[in-house]
Amino acid sequence: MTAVLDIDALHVAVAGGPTLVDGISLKVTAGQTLGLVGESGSGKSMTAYAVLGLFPAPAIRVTGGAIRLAGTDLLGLPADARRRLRGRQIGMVFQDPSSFLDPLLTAGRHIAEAFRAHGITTNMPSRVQAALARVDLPASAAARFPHELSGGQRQRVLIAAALALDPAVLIADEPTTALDVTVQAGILEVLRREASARGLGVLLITHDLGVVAENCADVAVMYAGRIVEQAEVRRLFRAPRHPYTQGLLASVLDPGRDAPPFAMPGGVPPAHAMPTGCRFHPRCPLVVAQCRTTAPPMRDGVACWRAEA
Amino acid sequence: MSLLSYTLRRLLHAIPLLLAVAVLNFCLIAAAPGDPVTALIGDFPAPAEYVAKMRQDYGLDQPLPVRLGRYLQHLASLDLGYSFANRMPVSTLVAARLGATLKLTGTALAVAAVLGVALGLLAARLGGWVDRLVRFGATLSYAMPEFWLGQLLILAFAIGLGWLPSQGAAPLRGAAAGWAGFVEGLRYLLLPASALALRYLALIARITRARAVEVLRADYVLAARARGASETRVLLDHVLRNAAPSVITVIGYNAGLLLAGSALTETVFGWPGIGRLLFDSIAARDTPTMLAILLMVSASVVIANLLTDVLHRLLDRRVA
Ligand SMILES: Nc1ncnc2c1ncn2[C@@H]1O[C@H](COP(=O)(O)OP(=O)(O)OP(=O)(O)O)[C@@H](O)[C@H]1O
Ligand SMILES: [Mg+2]
Repeated sequence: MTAVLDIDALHVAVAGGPTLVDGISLKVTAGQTLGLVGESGSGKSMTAYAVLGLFPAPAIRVTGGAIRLAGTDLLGLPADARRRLRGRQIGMVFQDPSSFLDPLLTAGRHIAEAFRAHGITTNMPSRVQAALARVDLPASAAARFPHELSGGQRQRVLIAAALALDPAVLIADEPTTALDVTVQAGILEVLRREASARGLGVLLITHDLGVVAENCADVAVMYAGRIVEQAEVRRLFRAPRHPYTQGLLASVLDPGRDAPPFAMPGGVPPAHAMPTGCRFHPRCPLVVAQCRTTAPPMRDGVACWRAEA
Repeated sequence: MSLLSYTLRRLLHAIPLLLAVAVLNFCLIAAAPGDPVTALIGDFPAPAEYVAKMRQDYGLDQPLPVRLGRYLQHLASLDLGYSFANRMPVSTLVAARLGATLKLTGTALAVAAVLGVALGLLAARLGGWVDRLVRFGATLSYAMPEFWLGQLLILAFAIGLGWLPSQGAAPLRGAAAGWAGFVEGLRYLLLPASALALRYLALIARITRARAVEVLRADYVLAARARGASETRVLLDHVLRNAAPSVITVIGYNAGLLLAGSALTETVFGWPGIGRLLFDSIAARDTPTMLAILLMVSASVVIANLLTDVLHRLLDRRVA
């Protein structure tokens, strides 16, 4: 199958500062969900922002690589052409539905904004209603302000706005992290349904390996701005090959232990003080001399000197 | 609580407040040296019996509590008293001047609001030297008192360049009719309205810029851009809307600034409004007129604050 979104050796850096995303490659297939996991600060959101062409600070920019959407390289497009792809070809859903909805606008206005941004102004009430129905919200939700909705309803409104124009790709950046477990399931079900029914390609960013197990076909594990392992989900869970992935799984899947996820010692190094060689080596139980000096290339879906082929 | 019951409750609270203001004003003016009789007579050597007779006629021989009681009694029946200096009821006098003041303050308010919001948005959006220029200009303008700026404007545009009139609201020979009269009126309005608007404009530009910078960084603006909204739409639909409550609050809570500025501006430009009347009534020790104007100013500030809070609630439904 061909990739609808093809991220190729992407580099993102702060101007005159550290590199935040260091040459990652991902392919999102139509109708499938690709999971992107990794600890806080590993560069997952920056990857998403790069695809969107929006960064939270003006100093952050793409410094290398390519992002192809259905074959077209986005990085070569002028700013207004990129704007016209946002919402229409690439939808985005964010982590905290409370802060990503304008407190002074109704739910319906958020959805209508997506249509208006792309020059569609007719039949707005029925369009908004249809978009709400797709995320299982009643038509009456259109008149509600964000503070009148629950967290799960807010996230549904954001998803409805992101999917309103039937984009080819949806990037969901930790869409359920801020919600409680019962609500999470409903949100993820909506995403799964849309992906399979409409051939939507989803890039699902998450901390939660359980979410990956239930929703994704493939998964990429990111560490300190690089992808360390990429595989089909069942394979990765059955036989993780990178010591970092093994650590992640061990901390989640050990049923007898009541440890929080990511209970590995240490943390992601800050972007301005990246270790040489393999970036995981200071925390790695299998470290050898080569790991400290030379970054391992990605081979057969894993970037590790110690992984058995 | 509904907006209507909120408004009614606030109006009810305003009554004791205004009563206290009326009493305070009365006592302060009574404590000041001089009275209408001394002001009327001036340096003329009047016989003592004549002065005493006049005091009695004006009711000035009564003790303070009695005079205060009578004043409040009249106020309760909406009687503002009689101006001896102008030989007409205060209400007639004030009504004749109200139009000029409303024209001046209304124009200044509209100019300050429109330009202030536009400059604030521009500074926040463009950043860089435009932002620095707007912020510097606003700080400088805010530090400039109206009467000083007014005199500078008169020196430059009326006396120096001779482009615009410096005194009054219309030519002495009377205003022209129709379109020509309107344009002429604008020529008279331009300098005093500019002098009055500038500080207010600076204030509005500053708060608009500060709020707009904040909103532009908000997550929901990022989400709007992610939907494909253009920068213009972001500015109009999100930034302006979310800045509006703060901007309206600053405009409304500083209505007193506008009214005080109006008194100074009217005095400098000989503008025939309430502010000028206050100045003249102080010079003439015309107590009833002074009291009426001070009370009107207080009432205007109270009403402006109330309107502000009501508008704020209309714009932001989260405010309980
Ligand atoms: N505005 C910014 N300027 C400079 N560096 C930033 C900025 N925002 C984030 N970073 C850095 O970029 C790196 C990657 O951040 P990113 O938000 O992509 O992480 P993430 O994987 O999404 O983490 P999380 O799980 O916490 O969302 C981090 O090291 C972070 O410190
Ligand atoms: Mg993130």
